[in-house]
Amino acid sequence: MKLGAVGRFGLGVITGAALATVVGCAATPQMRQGAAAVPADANIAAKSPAPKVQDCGIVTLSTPVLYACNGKVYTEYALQHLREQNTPAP
Amino acid sequence: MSPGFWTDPVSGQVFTKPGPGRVPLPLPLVTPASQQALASQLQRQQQQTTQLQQQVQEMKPAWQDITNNLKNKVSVGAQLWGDYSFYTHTSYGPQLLTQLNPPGPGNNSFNSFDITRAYINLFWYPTDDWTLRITPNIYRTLGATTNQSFGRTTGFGSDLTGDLGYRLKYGYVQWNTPFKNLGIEAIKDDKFVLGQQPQPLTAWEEDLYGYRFVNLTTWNMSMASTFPGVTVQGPITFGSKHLQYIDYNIGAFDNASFHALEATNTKEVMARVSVYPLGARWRFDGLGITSFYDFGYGNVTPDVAQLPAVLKGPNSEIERLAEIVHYTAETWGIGFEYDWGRNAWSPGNMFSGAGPAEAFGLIPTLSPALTLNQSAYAALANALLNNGRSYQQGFNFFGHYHIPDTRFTAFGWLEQWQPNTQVQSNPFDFERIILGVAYQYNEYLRFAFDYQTILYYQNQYNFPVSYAKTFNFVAPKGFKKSTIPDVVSPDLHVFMLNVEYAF
Repeated sequence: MKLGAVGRFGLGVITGAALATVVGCAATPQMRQGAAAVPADANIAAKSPAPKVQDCGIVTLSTPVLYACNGKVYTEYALQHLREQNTPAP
Repeated sequence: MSPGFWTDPVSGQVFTKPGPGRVPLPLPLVTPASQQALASQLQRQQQQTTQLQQQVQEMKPAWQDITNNLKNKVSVGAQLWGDYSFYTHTSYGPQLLTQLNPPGPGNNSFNSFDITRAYINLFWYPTDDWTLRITPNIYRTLGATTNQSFGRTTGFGSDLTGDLGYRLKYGYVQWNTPFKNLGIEAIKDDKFVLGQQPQPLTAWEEDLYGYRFVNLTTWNMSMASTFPGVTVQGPITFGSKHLQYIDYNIGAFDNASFHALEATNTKEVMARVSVYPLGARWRFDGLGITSFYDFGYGNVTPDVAQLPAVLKGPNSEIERLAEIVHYTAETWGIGFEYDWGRNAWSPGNMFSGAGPAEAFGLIPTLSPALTLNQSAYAALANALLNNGRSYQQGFNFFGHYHIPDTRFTAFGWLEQWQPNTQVQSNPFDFERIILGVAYQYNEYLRFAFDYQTILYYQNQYNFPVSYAKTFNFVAPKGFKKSTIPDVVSPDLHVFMLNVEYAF
């Protein structure tokens, strides 16, 4: 049912735009931080701490579940192993 | 005289000397000869035991070889989705998640614990070239059942309705290396897949979105995620870093999905092409532009499809189109999707979660007048959504953002859906909104708390019968009104706690 002059579609667009703004704005500094924090030199990258699954992107949620961290793809088992051993990312 | 014993056979007595009526009693005596014989026998047995032990030791590596090979060639995984849902307002509408069928309007505060997926993923890799996948999954057994008679005077109730049963979700063979030997580096990872498999769009979009355990994606509310067929798919990479610039999945399928019986003499074609103009280090990395197109037919036998009809209804051609622009980073993602369809949204889709009883050929427990109204409403749904000339349009916007230094990620899905753009003020137009927060417990376990709603866009109104007849509306017997009353369903609101376990 309609919400006055704005309408539900308008409400949806406004909410969507708001979410886009929040996500977009909030993400911008994260991108910059990430770009600076991930060095191009693989030897330096190897010294970075073990990646955490919550910081990774989803590659696939089917077996085997895969995550992308620092531009590399890991199985969930590999991430668990790195976390438990507290070893740096390969 | 040599030592010995004698016995009287009559009395059984034993003597140390011979005498009348006594006969010698032979007894085994330990002699050097007998000792030598025993020693030789013992040695032979020891040699046999040693040989047997060697044989067992030689067998052990072979057994290990079998298990080691099995370990490298077989993979077992599983996936479980569950939720607790509290519906502050119930209504008619499409399913929010597979297996969810809450009651319709008038059942506010309905709540339930649900399992919406329980996969068992079985993979077998006999060689690097081939992969076999078998995946059973649950489904809700709902439908007509018959109580059972037992003997002359006994009966049992049916225990089928509402059970979660298992059925085959995926069963396919994958040829992993058809292009590898061609020496074309760009497509060396592409493959052919034959069998019951994910269609090109839905599973891919679910991974892009990342929260399928919370809600369905748009076209998945119209079409199943899985079809029997054959596909060619894979990435196309270029450059020394093997960045992915194109990812595609093109195939031919049955018109019937994995949970229906194929009836047609035609087939359905689907294709998805995702372009990553800047190159992607991993599957969704960075900017992507995805197009999906589907062309198929209603799943009816040829003799039915060829019947002359004013409007072909469910026998018509079906088209689905999706254009998605997406940007994905490791900690956030955003996407905008435009959808267009033709004859791709039937009353079965509209009421896949819950619908009026009359839409399913049942008689509601209402007064005769209200029953007639509902019958007219169901006929209207069929006229507007199943007339063979309906066009769909949708927009949705989705995204997620990981809150830094926490395990929380905010996510959302906003959708506008028009089931038939040919209808002015279509009472079935709706918006779907999902807003939630997910918590990543570890690599295998996630939780989400979210709010979902289906908002019917139009104000409540009465639909003119004269206009409905332009869509081939046929009034039910006894319905004399000039309008069909109250054709807009109330809004649906639900709060959910979801869980996902996957490995």
